Amino acid sequence: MQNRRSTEVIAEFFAHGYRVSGSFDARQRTLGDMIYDINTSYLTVENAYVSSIQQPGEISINYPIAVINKTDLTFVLTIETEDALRRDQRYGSYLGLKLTPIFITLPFFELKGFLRMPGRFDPLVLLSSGSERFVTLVDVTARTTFDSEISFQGGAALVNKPQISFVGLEKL
Amino acid sequence: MARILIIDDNPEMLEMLHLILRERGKHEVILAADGQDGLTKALAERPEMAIVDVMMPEMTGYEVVRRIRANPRIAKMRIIILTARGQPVDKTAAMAAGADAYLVKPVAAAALLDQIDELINVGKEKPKSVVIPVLSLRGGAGQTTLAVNLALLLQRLAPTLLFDMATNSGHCGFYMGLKQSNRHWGYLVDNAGITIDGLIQAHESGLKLLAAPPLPMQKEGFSYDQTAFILNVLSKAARIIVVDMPPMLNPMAQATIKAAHKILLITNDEPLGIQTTLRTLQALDEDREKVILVMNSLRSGPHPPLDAVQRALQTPLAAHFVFDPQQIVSMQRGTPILLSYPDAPTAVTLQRLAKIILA
Repeated sequence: MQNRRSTEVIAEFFAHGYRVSGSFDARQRTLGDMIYDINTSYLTVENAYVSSIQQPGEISINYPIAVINKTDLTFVLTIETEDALRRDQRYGSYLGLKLTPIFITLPFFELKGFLRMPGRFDPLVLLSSGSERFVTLVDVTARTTFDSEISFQGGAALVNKPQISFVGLEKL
Repeated sequence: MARILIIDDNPEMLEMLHLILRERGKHEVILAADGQDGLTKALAERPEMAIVDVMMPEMTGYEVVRRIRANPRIAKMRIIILTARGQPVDKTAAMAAGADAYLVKPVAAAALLDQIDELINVGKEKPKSVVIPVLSLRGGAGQTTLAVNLALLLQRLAPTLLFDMATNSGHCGFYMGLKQSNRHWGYLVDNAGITIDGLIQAHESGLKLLAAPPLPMQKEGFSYDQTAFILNVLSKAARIIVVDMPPMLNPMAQATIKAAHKILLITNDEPLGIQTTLRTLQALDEDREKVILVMNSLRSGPHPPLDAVQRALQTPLAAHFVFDPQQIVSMQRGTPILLSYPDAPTAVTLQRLAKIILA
């Protein structure tokens, strides 16, 4: 990956049966800020390596620059939790941050992880995409629905809410 | 200290790894900025190890590893995949491509250096015994007959073990007149708890035999490192280990060649046999100085002059076994010619050859 910088974040972008590993320059804005930004529909990443989700270990093609349509993303996965958080999510809360276990289904995937949020958790508010299109999960394991042996792990996932079909919770 | 090739298209990563390996690991470092450059330097510089990035634009790291493994001249190089793609599927892909180890970026310097040390030292401990592989990549060269007789002869000099490495049903036990037994190295492949000692058979001469599986194997034999380990264990049972090699340079054969004192390469004087021998010599390029070339004539009638054969092979012949009809009789009786006809030409040539091997 040419001219990799210390502010570069490597992330996995999943959409429509594809896995794209790419680097995002987080020098000016974090990946979380860019994904959550409702004023932009696209995200530019560098050094994109594309794999089919059927053979996610094999790289089928690569491009130095790729533009990702945020609307069609299923989720974005990062190894480090910090890399996926918005600036405001990086700090604590007077209400304290609670970790709520959650299971969600998405096209091609099921995800297990934790919601990290202050105050009382309301799943209907969570799923409402009126204000925010994405939701952040931490400590995530994603498994493909067609082969449970194929899994991806990350410190955080940014999940596209309209793509969520089912939410499983241990309690309300 | 080792010579290590680093292949990564990120100049900062190249420089950082260069510093870590040179200053802290005291290794000699070769740098390559992309896959093609890396392959060129691997062939030219012959490093012991390569550290390969995966995400490179023209040729991915997986492709680099596959090409290294496909080239017999550099196939044995140790390879570490070092990548930012850190998912379980990525490790599977790296190992499937042929990597020896897989590390995820960012990697701690100590973890990288430990992994390098571990890989560099694997299989380096040479067996204490003298290992003599008997090899012919073309079938019907009389390889097993020579291996059995050579092992019997060497047993007179020092405790010797014959390792039948055939994967398509071995015949050493049959040639030695031993009854077919359930004891063979194939058991070790499926049963890690079994000890080798319990699988070794003994001939009345004192020669020990680690037999091959009686039926063609349905799966791979041992890996390179497992074979190196087994040869080390066998060296406790015998001072000399003669190996009846498989007709291929699989990982078992490669580990044996690396551990060998001398390699007995058998050829015949037929055009296809000479062609196979020439290609085998090319494949054994790194170990060429260990090769002892032997001609084995298995048919009566006229043969091309030895000089012409040696010119064609571009290598001198250390010995020539002429066609010996008593060989066939011995084989049918299950008594090796060295025991049934000790004065036969084959037995005399073997004695001369043994002196060359042990010189």
